[in-house]
Amino acid sequence: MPAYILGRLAAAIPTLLLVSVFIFLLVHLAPGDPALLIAGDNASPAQVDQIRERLHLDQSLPAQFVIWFSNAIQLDLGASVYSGKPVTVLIAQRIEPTFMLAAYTMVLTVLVAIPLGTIAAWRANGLVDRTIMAFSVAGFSVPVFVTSYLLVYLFAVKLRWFPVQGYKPLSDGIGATLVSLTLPSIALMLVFAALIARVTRAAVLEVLQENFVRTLKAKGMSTGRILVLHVLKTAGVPIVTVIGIGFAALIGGVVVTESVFNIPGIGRLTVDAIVRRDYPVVQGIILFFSVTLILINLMVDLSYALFDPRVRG
Amino acid sequence: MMGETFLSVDNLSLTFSGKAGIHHALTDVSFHVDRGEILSFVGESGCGKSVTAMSVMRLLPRYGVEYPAGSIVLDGEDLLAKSEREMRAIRGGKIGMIFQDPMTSFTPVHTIGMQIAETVSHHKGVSKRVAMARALEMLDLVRIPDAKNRIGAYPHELSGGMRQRVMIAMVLACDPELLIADEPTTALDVTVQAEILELITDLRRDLGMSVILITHDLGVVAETADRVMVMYAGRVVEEGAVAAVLGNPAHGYTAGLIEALPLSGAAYHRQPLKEIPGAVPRLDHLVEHCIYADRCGFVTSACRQAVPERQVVGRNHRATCLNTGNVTSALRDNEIVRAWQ
Repeated sequence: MPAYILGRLAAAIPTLLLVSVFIFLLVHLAPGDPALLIAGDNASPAQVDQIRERLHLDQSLPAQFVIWFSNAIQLDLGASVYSGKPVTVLIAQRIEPTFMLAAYTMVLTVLVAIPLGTIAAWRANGLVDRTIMAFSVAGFSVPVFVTSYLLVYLFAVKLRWFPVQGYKPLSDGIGATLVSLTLPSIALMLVFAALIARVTRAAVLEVLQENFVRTLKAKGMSTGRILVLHVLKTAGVPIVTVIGIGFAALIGGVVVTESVFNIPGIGRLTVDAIVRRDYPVVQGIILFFSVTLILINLMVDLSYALFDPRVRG
Repeated sequence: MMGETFLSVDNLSLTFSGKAGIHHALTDVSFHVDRGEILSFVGESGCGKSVTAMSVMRLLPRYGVEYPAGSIVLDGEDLLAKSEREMRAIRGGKIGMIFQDPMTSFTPVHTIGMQIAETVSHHKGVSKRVAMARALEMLDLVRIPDAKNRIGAYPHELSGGMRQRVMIAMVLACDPELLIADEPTTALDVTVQAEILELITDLRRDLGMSVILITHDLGVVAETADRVMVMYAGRVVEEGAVAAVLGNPAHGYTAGLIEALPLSGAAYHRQPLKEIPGAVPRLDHLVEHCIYADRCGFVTSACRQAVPERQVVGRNHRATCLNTGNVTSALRDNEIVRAWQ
């Protein structure tokens, strides 16, 4: 078990390195001279050179990478071209709403998708299964901004149950935060849950064919106990894997959702930075999301051992 | 009470229906199991052995399965009239069942101790701790070495033979009065097979339970069972005490099974194995004659005119055949038959 954890941790390091090289190149190989952009229209060539030197743009690409990387591991991602604030500070300011949105969405998704997927598998090809799967196709096919506006129209404008937009920080109390995030979380959840429900259905359906299910029935176990305690736990590995993969999709969704609901999170920061060509910020955000994804994958890998004793080795 | 009928199945018919039409899986199956005896079901794949057992457990799917006729009475209670809830108390309680493949018959993600204990808790309503103590006691009973440590093992950490022992321990933990063993040794090595069969016969003796042993291996029947029921195409073709059926086979199909057994010693090399010609009939309609007539070496014109009645061949011995005398005398010189006379 400790060997498994260490192995997984060690495997994450080369991934991180590769990702950082890729992110560095992505921004540096993009056309356009950042120095000119930063200097603005009225700068003299001397000023541009000065900026170039300050940003180490006059050095070779590998040398630039070494500087950038050693700064990055010290949590120095440079400063925003637009506001001059450090990128890490900008990201840190925006983490809370994004984290809350992602976590709330994840909880809703698991609560909705896993029971529905399990029931669909248990009643495979029946009316219940077909209904659930039809909704899942719909959920997956309709873009987030469409469901977002529909939800706002219905629950905020018509019924007035939730605010139309905005975010209440945790300092206002968790209740207020959750109320402000309910509609965006549901909008995001619909897409995400559709994916997870389908995978849950497939995984549970496969496990239901296994001989041990017959043994459990022959022991007189109830359907609920068989499904939850035995089948779902056995089917856990593929389900958790897809939840992890789905997180990437969730990040994309966060950007759109934050814009629609006017939530001051990292998604909004991303959109603003891209619009202003604020390269250091864009780079920092991509790195942040990449590290987050790697950490989530690591957690998914480690959770395998929780579900399946055979993985622990 | 030894010798008292515990399970009695009478004239049971079962059909599966689906898009492909109707399938007569069982036709007019009757048998009984007395307390404390081992009854063996023998026949090839698809003959209805397992379906009969699954019917007793009421484990077949609800949709597409119908019982047009017959009854299953366990200890005076009609099982076909039971609700699912009532059956859940009987399954694993009064009737325990073990299956062919011990490798895949356990949930891979729970310890064997937990899997035994959950059964005990469900049927006996005892606490987790008491159930675990019972699990340990049962592992000792089925001769699992170092049971104290093995109780926390996961199924993949045990060998096939060990898993089948644990399966037996799990099923017996709730003191079933009837054990149904569906090909319990088919997936195991020959040596392990002998151990498991010995364990079943020992436990039957010590605990006084009845056993239905499903197998396609006449050798297993000979070693283990008190009585044998030969099935073919969803019907009972011959039934009786093991010595009577193997010593005086009276149905063409039983004769075919016996002749298909490999002989021992020098005879093994001298002649090729005998087989039963032809294939099992389709069961999408009921035939109005002997179901085995097309493959039988003893067939006469009478066999094709009506479904034969069950004939009493001897004491404790019945066969659904019109030519029982011919079959018995033809097999007189068979090595296996002679050994049982």
